[in-house]
Amino acid sequence: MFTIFKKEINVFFDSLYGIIIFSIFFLINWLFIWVFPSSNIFQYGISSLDIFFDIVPYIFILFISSITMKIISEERNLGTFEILLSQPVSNKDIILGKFLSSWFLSILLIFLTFPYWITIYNLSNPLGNIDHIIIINSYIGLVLLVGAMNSIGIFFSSLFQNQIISFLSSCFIFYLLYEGIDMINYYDSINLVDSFIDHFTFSYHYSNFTRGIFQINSFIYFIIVMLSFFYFSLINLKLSLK
Amino acid sequence: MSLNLKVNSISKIYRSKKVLNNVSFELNKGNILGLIGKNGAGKSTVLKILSSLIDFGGDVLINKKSIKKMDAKSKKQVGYLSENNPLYMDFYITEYLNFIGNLNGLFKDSLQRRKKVVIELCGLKNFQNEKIKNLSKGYRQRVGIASAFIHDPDILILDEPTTGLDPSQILEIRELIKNLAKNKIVIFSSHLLNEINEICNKVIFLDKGNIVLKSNIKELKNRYNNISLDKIFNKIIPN
Repeated sequence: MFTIFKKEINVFFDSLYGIIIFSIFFLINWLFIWVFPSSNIFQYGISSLDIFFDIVPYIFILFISSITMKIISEERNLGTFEILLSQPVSNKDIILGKFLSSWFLSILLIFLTFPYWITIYNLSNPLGNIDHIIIINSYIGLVLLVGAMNSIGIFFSSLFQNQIISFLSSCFIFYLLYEGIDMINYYDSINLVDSFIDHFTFSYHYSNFTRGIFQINSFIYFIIVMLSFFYFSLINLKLSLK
Repeated sequence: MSLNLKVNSISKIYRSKKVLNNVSFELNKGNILGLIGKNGAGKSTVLKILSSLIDFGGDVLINKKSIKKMDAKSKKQVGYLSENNPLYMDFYITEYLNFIGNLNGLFKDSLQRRKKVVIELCGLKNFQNEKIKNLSKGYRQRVGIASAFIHDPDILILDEPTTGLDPSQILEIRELIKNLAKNKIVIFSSHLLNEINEICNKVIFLDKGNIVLKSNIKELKNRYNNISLDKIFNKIIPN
């Protein structure tokens, strides 16, 4: 499993593709958080990273879809997936290696945004007047959210050989789970489904963390999503060998 | 240590079409089996089944142990070169062999030792620091063969291993296969009947998923008054 993990990371950083994806992620983040007047932190007037944590899930929708679309689809297209299948590694190890590598890349991106935290700390008045608990919990929520997204993205990559379809499907499902389901509530005048459906959305559980609360049920929710889609990918892989 | 491969009535159905029908054979250490058949005869399907790449009916036993009951790690006993020889084109040769070696549990000294052996045997010494995408088709084929036996498997499965090679490379690869087979079982498919004649000691003719002939090469030639394998093939499976 670790060999596959290592290979995926090397392939990502050896290619121009990886560098471009990382650069675009930071450029978009930088523009939204520090430049665009409608969303920049200076206009916000409060020393917090709330804006960053509000915007970054949308950026991850694109980022994770573009990482995971290649991870199995491309290998199946090129026939190199057969190399892995003919080696003494289980299907579980193949999927796990790929999942952990794409999750690791997402966590690396999150980690590289820590300077924002330091910047806000230094900009606050009086110095250090920021809520570290909220930021720590938000980062934990973000790590879990991207884990769930990666697991779903890998499932779609295992489902479709066409990378574009895999990318679009992932984007659509991420958006639906993050915000789309919430939209249904606008049409629900008596709010019957509201609270029930909310519990299935990424945004509901992620917002628990961004409010600074470490809720165990939100933690479990993300873990269940990760495990479920990991299992679906395994089933799909097994079916493709029939 | 003895080595035995027993293929028991294997069958395969693709989209309700039977592409392999009760194929059975048995091989022991030192056997080199050539699979011959027209396109679509089921050669690659047999090889994929033996490499645990696809599900199938029937059973395959390696030293009396069913491959269906083996865990993934037991696949180390088998080395496989696919017909299309897919490779990670952006990898350097050594990087690729390291990757395959690692997947087969080879690290550090054991990996270096085996890598040196396969690079030498496959004539890749002068190219080991090249990217695979910069190699000719023949050298890519050598990389595929090198990766198939880097972990020194007991059973080597090669699907048309000499495709794309020039005449001198073909001769080298044939020699290599013959040398490797001394303490292994080698199974390979080819369209080149003289190649089968040259390398193999056993042969199977496949037609539409069925075995139409299974024999020792010497016995077969004796039976047909030493005529060439091409003629025997055309007699048994006419166009």
